[in-house]
Amino acid sequence: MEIKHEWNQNGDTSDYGVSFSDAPELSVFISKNDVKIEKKLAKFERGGFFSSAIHRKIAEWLPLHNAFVLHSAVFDVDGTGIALAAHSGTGKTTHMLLWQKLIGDRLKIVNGDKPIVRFFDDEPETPYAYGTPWNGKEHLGCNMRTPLKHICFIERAENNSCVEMSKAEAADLLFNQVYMPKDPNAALNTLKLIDRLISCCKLWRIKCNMDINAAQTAYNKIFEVEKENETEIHLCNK
Amino acid sequence: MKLKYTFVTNEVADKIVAVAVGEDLEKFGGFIKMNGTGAYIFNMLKNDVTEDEIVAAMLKDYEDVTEQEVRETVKEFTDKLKEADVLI
Repeated sequence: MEIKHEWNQNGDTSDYGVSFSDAPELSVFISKNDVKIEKKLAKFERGGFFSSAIHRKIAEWLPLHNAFVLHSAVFDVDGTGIALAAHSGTGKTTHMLLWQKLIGDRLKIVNGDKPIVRFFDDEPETPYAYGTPWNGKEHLGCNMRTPLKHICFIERAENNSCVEMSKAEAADLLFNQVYMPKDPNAALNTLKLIDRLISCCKLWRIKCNMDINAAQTAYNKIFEVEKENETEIHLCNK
Repeated sequence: MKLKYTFVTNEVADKIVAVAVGEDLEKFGGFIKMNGTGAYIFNMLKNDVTEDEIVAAMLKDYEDVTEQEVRETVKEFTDKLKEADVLI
């Protein structure tokens, strides 16, 4: 009851519920001390420490199950997942909303802040990004997943551009946006998963202003690549 | 000399990356990126070793290098680790 009360202050999480008859993969217990740790770790005054403590316990467990938390805004365009990563306050949400303005209902917001990215053994080259109740102060997102194909690092600039990045450059930026667990095995797996993620996705550096042209520039560049890939697959199937 | 914190290492984007784990994660929240030689030295520094011991080990394992070259490499690398305050 306590959880429901606190979460409802932040946004409706009922979409993420599972039946109690299902055996849970993970059960977390939050002590008063866990909440105290969240208060200590918080960089600025805010609420939701109980919720943060639950998130931390899940984030610590995920890498032992081929998954991790990627601080980013993830959306789906016609079945293609795109992640916008940047430090808080750079304008991930603003840029994502510009894309929404540009392409309307074709865009579905999966998670505005902390999606879980997960790999499966039967699809080793497809990372899936998931909606979770931890989706930022605007609470943008829903209970869905998308195959993540593009990771874009956002920088504010006067002029808009979108260029491909090397894996090495992307890795440096990704380390700051991935939740790093304390457990040595989980940390090791996280490094392996980061390496896998950058091998499976196209990597972009987007310089953008607040204008709709920022979304248009990135969209044109990214979906040009999408089209090229489609042609390649078509030829291979012949 | 020895690493001040407990690290795990793995290859990411063709480099070896080290991150601190356990309670040390709060003390060193960044990451260390290195090439194969750096990783060799880093691995030795998980135990308390002297510069001479690292140099001796490398001279056994690396071909076509002089002692002076190896010593300079070890010094350069350990200086960087000292600068980052991860060596004791």
